[in-house]
Amino acid sequence: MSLQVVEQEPLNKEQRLAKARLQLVKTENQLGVSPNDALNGKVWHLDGSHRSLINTLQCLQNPQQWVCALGVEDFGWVAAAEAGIDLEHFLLVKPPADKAGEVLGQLVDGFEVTICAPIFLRPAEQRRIAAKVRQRKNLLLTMLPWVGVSRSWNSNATSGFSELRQVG
Amino acid sequence: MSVIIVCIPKWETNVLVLDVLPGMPAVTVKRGRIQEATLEATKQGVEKGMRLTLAQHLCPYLEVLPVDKSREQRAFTTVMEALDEVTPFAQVIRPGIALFPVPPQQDTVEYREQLVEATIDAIASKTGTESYAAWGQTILEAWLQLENYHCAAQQRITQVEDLPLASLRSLFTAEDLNLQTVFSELLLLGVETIGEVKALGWDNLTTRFGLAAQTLRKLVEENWVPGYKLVEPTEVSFSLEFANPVEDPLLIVGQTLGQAQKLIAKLQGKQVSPQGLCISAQMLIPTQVCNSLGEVETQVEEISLQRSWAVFDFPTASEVTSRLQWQLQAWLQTQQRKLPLTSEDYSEQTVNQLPSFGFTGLTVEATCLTPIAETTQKLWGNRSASEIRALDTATKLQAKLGQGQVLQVKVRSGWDPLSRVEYREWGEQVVNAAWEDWNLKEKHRDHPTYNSQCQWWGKVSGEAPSIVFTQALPACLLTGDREVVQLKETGLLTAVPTYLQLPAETLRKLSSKAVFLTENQPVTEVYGPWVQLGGWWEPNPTKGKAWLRVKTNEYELLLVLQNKSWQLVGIW
Repeated sequence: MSLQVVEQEPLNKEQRLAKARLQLVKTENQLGVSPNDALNGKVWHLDGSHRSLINTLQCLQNPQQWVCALGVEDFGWVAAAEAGIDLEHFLLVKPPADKAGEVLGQLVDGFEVTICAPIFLRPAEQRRIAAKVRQRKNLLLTMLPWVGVSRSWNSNATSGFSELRQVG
Repeated sequence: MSVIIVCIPKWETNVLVLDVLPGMPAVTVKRGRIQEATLEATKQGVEKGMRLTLAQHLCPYLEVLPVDKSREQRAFTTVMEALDEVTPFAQVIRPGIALFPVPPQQDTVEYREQLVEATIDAIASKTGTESYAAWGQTILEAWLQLENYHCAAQQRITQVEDLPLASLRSLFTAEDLNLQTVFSELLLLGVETIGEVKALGWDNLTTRFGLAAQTLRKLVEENWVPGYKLVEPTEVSFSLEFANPVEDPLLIVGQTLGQAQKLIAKLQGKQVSPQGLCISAQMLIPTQVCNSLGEVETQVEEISLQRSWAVFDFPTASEVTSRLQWQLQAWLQTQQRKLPLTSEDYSEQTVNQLPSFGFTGLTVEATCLTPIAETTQKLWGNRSASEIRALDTATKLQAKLGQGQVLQVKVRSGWDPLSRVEYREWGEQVVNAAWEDWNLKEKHRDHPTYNSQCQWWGKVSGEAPSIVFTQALPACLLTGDREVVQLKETGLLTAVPTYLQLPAETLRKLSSKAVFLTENQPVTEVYGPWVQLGGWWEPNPTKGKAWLRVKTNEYELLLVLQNKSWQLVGIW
């Protein structure tokens, strides 16, 4: 039996870089770490509970960063304050139902982090707002999934992100 | 009044570390000669005044930096920020030296020493720089103490008169050429100390050196000490009165624009920035009352309205008027809702019978005035671009949506998670109740009977629930025999709760919050009750409550017993 020797061609510079990037992504996924760029510019949905919203905000809010909540009701503000969320930089907007989409459009333009309570929005409106979020590189958290638009917020990524921020 | 001088030796050299890597030899060069050199460069033989070529020969890796006059000032702001922790009245003599007065009420030796220590610690913790601080009745006395730090005991100077003139050079910058000339020429004349300057006579000096001698005289003779300069408590305001009630806010705003511009000019003239804007107005509103014959009559009543707003930056005239317009519209809407007649009814009435409605007077007052220097933009700006964008968006939305729709939340001290939350309009000034600033825990910490675990009777302990219903939902706590659990007079439950019964409307509301419960929930654990009695001053207290923390299989719920019925208030 003859021994067949397969010689692997040496990788060029671009291939080596791509390989290194892939390795980095794999490691990040394993650790549950998401860099800032991966989070921003997207619409995320939570499981609808206020506790998960508090936990998410606890990780997301930077010092001096304004957060806006649209139509959030019956929220445990005391629990949020106890969790370290800066309510001084928190805005609560309760528009009438017919203006909700328009107001949300303005909020995602102006605020880096916007929270949207369960409100009725047509799919076209949702897509338009998601495009604004993408353009502004802001972040929109919805309490209910927006079909085809939002992604589920990964709690592992959240905790990893907060750890990453603490280190940074 | 005493004064404390803070000095950081060799500040010009210290600030070079801002622009170079640690341990790198670096110099600044002026006209081909070394002006300042870092410690690392000095170790390798580089000296001040040396030619650059020689310095580069001695130290081949020498970093040559451009002379940046603002570098020293810019870096000294960090030290001034550190001094802000100790005193609000710190002043810069020149970059590297600052001074501040000791509060006259606490001008004791012990307090001065404490202040000196606190100053040095504050600078060290903020900048990592060693500083020297000394106090004296005048600037020169304090300066004398600082000079004595470096001297041996025998060489120490005891009187201000013996202070050498050369030591005063450090108090002025090298750019102050006139004073530097005075010092050089006096030294040539053999005048070396302050006592000798005084003996020479100020008239002679003023004749020879003019303005520079006047500056020196002010420093030496007048014992000038910076005092506490507080802004006068007078408020800046403008008022308008209308002969007839005005119902159109735009008409009022049109009249106030000029006044608002004058107000801003006045603020600029006083060099103060308002932190608040108080708008007060008088309104005439028609009300219906019954006369003695039982007939309904329409009378006109005058009411006063007032609201304070926070001002984020130094306001412009148009910002004042737009805030005013918003407020007037909000008041009009509120009062119109309370009117006994609608606008259609008014139009049906004859002109003579038309009851008066509208504003009769208006006052806009700029409050909480602070010196403008405290609110000026810092090096990199007080606010980031995203923060400014957020503030602008909030203001725009508020103007668009009207009152009660753009809000901010404040959590106050209190007993339960419901009453602690307070909503206020965006931008409205927070008014703290007097008791909120008492800080009783801080005050009584050293008291022998103080116990940090103690809390007010009736305060719900533990962390707060994540869902709090502003309108409590009906619920019922039952015993094993399906009897409603009540409260005894002793403040305890009549029986151990076994079931939690929730009506359909409560379940529907809960499902919208992603909480799914069934009609009958078995209760596994109970904490409480926390009893809040009604006001003791009430003859028949009706506001008494009892809070109970109930655990079911999946959730932990906060219930309240009020008027003998249970209600669901929160969920953890």
